[in-house]
Amino acid sequence: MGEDRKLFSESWHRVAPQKIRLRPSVKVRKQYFRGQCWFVANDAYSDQYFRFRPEAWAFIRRLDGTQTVEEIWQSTLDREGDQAPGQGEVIQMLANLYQSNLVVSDFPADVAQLFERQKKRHAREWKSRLFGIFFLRIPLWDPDNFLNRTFPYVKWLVNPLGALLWLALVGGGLAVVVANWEELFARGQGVLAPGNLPLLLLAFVIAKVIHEFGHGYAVKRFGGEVHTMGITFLVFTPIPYVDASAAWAFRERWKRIWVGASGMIVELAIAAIAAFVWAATGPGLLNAWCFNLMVVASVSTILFNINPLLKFDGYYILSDLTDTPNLQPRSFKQIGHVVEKYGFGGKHSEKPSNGLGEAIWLFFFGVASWTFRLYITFVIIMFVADRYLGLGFIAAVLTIIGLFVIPATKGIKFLFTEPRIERVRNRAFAVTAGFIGLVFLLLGVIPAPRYFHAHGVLFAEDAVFLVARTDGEVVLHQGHLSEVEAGDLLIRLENPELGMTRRQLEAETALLEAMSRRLLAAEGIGREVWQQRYDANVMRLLELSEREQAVEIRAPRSGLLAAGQADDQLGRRVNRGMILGEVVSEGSWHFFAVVGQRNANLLFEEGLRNPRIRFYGSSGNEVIPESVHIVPGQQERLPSPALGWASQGPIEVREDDGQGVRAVEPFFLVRMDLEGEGAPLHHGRTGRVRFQVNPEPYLHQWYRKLRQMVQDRFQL
Amino acid sequence: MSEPAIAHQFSPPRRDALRSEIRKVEKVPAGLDAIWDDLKGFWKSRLKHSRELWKKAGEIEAAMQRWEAQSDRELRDALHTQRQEIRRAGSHWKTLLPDILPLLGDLARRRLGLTPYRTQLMGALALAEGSLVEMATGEGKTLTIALAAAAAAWTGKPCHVITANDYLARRDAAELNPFFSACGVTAKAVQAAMEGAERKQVYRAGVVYCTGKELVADFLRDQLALGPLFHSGRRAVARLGGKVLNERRSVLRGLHTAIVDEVDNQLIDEAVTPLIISRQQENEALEEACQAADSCAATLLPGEDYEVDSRFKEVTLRPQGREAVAEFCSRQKGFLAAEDWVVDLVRQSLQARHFFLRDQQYVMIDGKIVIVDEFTGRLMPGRSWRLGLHQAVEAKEEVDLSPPTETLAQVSFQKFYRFFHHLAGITGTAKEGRREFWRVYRLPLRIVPRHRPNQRKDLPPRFFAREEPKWAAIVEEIVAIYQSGRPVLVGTRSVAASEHLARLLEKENLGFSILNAVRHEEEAGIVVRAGNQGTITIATNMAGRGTDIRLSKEAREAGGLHVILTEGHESRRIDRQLMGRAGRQGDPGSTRLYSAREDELWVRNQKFVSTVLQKVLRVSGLLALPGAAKFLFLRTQRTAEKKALKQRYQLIKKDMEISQQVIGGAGKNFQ
Repeated sequence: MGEDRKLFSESWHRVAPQKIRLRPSVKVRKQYFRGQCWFVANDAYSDQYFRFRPEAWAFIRRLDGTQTVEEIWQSTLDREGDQAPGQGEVIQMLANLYQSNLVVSDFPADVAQLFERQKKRHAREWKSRLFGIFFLRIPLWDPDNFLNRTFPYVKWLVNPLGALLWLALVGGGLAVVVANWEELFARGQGVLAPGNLPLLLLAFVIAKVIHEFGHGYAVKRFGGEVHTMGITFLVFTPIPYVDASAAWAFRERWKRIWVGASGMIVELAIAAIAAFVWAATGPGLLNAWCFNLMVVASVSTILFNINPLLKFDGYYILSDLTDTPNLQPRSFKQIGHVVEKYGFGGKHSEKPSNGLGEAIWLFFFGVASWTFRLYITFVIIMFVADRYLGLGFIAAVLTIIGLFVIPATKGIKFLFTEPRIERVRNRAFAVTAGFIGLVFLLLGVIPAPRYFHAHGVLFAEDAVFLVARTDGEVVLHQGHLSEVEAGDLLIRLENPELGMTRRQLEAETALLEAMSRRLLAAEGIGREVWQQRYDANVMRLLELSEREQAVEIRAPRSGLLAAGQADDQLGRRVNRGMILGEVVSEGSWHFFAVVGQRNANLLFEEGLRNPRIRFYGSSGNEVIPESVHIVPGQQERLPSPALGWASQGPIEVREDDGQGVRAVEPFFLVRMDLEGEGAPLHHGRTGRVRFQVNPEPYLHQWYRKLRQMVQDRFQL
Repeated sequence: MSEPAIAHQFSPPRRDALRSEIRKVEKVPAGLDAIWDDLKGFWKSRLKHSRELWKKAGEIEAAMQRWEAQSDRELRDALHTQRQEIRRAGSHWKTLLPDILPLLGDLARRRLGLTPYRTQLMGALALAEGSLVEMATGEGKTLTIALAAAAAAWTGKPCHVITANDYLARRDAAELNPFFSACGVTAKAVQAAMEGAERKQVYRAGVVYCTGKELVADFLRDQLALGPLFHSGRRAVARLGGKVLNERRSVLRGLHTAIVDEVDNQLIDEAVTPLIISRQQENEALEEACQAADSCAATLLPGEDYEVDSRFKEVTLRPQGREAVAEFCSRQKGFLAAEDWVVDLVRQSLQARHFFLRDQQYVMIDGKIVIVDEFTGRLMPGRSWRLGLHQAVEAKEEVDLSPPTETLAQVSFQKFYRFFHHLAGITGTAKEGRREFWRVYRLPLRIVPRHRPNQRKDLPPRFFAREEPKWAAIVEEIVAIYQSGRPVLVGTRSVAASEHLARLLEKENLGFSILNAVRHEEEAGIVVRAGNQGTITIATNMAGRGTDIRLSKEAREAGGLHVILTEGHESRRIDRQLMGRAGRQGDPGSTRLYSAREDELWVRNQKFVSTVLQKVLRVSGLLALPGAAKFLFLRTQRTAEKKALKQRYQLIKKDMEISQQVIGGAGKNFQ
């Protein structure tokens, strides 16, 4: 009980003579939240909920229309003393009940005001739709009748037997998945391929419809009603939803949790069935679709629905698990309360939590939820702005208004006009200004390290390629980066074919020789032909010996062997003509980085400091170049086709260029000399270099990036 | 002329609807809207309008002079025709004003012997158009109002003239009666002592002179009497259903036109005063609780058990104090064992002890507490503070507790005046509040020039750090002026201050009269003498409004009235009102303001910035510079004005919120 309780209120006369009663359609149930007793009132007609403490209930239960508010209050006061609500508290309570349409009075209602209220509510709904356009919700249908009629058909599933069945099903599905993991994984790569999208979407919609019916039937199972079903446009993607708020009136917590989880439960069952079908059928449309269904119903459920930071199933489950109804609004209120009470030193802020534990929990949930929402919205805006230029832009602006501008305006209004902080307004201003100043200082004034990146390719100054001159399997390998002397055996191939060929050739040669000799004895007619065949065979033998020799690949010069790891290479089959690696001379590597026009100013004005090179495929290792030189003059030809789009590289090249080295935009080359030590150097290897430039506050950096992005994406 | 056809035997439906029809109270713009609205108000109040009115008034004056030669009969016929024209014109009647005002003006000359000046014609024009009129003191506001009221009454809609007090209402209605009856309009005054039937009769008059308080009270009583049937639609339906309605219970003809005299007092200073219709209830438990809370509060020590915040008039209990209360409660039974409620009562009791002081906020008369109005300085018998607080003050004074009252209906002036379809007001000090008048009441400002040039000299104010030297300087100045033979009017802020000054003057062996809430019986006599040579009059604020101090010939020759303001008020307007007593109608006169930093104005309105500023100025010695202290004073006064303004806006907001939230029928939505 706070310091601020007042017994009398000047507005008391407004309610005192009224005879107020709860609407007949209002049901009140007792519920426990975090070990505390509450009463939840619910009007089935208007679908409104309201919860209050037992002290308030002691008052509200007497609202039966036979006594005036004054009389009820007096008797409550006599009986309960301290515990009775003060006049102001009673007025507030009655106002809330009235706003929720849970009570009627014997005083005729002001009809104009009722209409006004309705208009306001509509306006508010539209506003929230507009500013939450990425989560647009459109109610379409009342599914209650349908659910009632169809529930008997699924009723047998919702009992312990059903649970066993479900366990068996999901377990079986899981087993199928594990058994076919390899194939599944391989196909999983192609799920987001453009050709698969229609199937994926179809699977998604069906899975979600079943998911929502899962919620609906769960509510039915516990005797609730479901009156709204519709479509949510989640970032313009239509997804069905049902309003399962009837669950709030369930007294037992586990029932509410069941309702929240039922969607996912059903979806997992669907995934299991899809897995069976997929495993049982051969390639075809059904098979492909079941595969998609399986992925959607399992992965999407786990990724999206269970996340409690957005208002999906996970949020409601968490809110029930922790016994904190209205988790998100209350957590935001808690943050507001903490700011008002501890930041501003306000004494009149109303505590939204009961107990310290809940306060802490609410606070941190609020912070996490808000941060995540900010992040996800940012991601969505980026995504949408990229895809749908005009529409996305409008939606993004609306969302930014909803997420930043409106709360900011409210905050300012609060600071200037809220009567509660009248006494501490100066401090409130100071704290707010201090906080904004601090944030600004951190982001806008204090320079933060700044980097820019450039793609490049590595060249050895003089490298000799090792070319396989015969087919074969690697049986001996010196290992990567071993120092070699000229003539050292580096790699040995084994090719059993060579032996067989030799034997065949030798046998043939022997035969030809014998034939040749016989013909010599028979006056030599036609001997020349045989002699020629013999000679040819000898030539082939000679050639074969060369190839036999070529199974031993020796170092053409001293240096480092750059040929991949021995373990990977052993047992590998190579074909003739393949490059197996290089022998490079130590200490003479060059990394050529391609710097686009966009970063050119950084290149010339800011100076390049602390370059760090990372090669693709071994990003863990950083290489520090010895020296950096800017190649004067802008270039058009990439140092290696590996950097161009034509070879899946990062830089756009002209389509008409067969070699794929002519870049669309001219660029500058930066040459860095590297020492060969400590890094998996490989001639022709691509990587990325990071330069540090003069530090700049984050805000400057972000602004620059934003401008660059807008320039790049929208060509503005 | 026959009695106007207003007192019908039965009410035609339209007239019946009018009985309770009130204008829908609009939302007062806030935030950005407010800025836009202010600009609009500024535009509507620009001087061009005043100049145009002045031009029109000139034409009317000329036309009026042409009528002088005509016979009574011709004038009467013309009046008759115009009156019919007005009825026909409906809501466009204001366009006919240039034709009507010359007639009315000439009628005033014939019946009252007063020829309206051009300034008065201009004022009447502006009032009839529904504006806020600034007209200097003593320029003949009464006649100005009468001209506008007569024209408005001709429309047949109820017209109320709101005066500062019953005496003025009675006087004006009586003095102007020849004029009104010649126009074919009855004019009557409502008096506090009147009973229901008589009241109803008075309200039937074409022009009703009354105080705001009486009108609001009657309005609220009508409301209670009619209940849900206050809504005319409901009445119509009920009548259709054959229900016999007890319409006689309501006394008003409805609220349509209001012309408010001293409009800034009613619409700004008094705006937040709640007007309450209440009934006394027996609640012994509460009385006992208040007594007990008072005895408990008496044991607490400031600083240790509780803290006093004089800026916000608040008391906060410290933990130690709470413990003391808890300990007190543990010894009690029943209601008093409820600690939370006792804490509330104790806090109220402490508030009563610290901020509700005898002879400042209230006086004791016959063992009863009588509240003194802070703005007018008048006694407000019958008024009480909010529930519990009043009893706490009584418990402190150890008088019998008055039984707690149960509020039945309540409205603030601020809200009430917005119910009128046609509102106009006149005062000597309107400029300062122009923004609020526009924003809340939609009244554009029109400034009427003075009829005779101003001869008043406002001497530079004098500032002091402490009160004692201030009083010494005041006494010195009074003596000096007294010796020069000029009359002096000394304005004090509270009854206590006026008594203090009286004691100081007694020491100097000076004769003086004193006019305050306690000694208010001789008011009229004192005012009549106040303009005589060598008179010293000490008065609380009550002398500020509506009192017309006429100078004797010798006094005028000696240099006119000198007004001393012994401390600054929370609003510049109130200071100006008091200053306005000097130099009326072109008389000579002078004023001087005294202020000490120990005055209430300074103590209660210290903002962080001005405190620092003061310190800097004092330490650096810049305070001695001419204008520095005045700058600080004006700053403080502005702070006080802003604080009051904010409070009024908050009341509007709260009113709006509560009436939207709380259950209630159409009849209750304005409370």
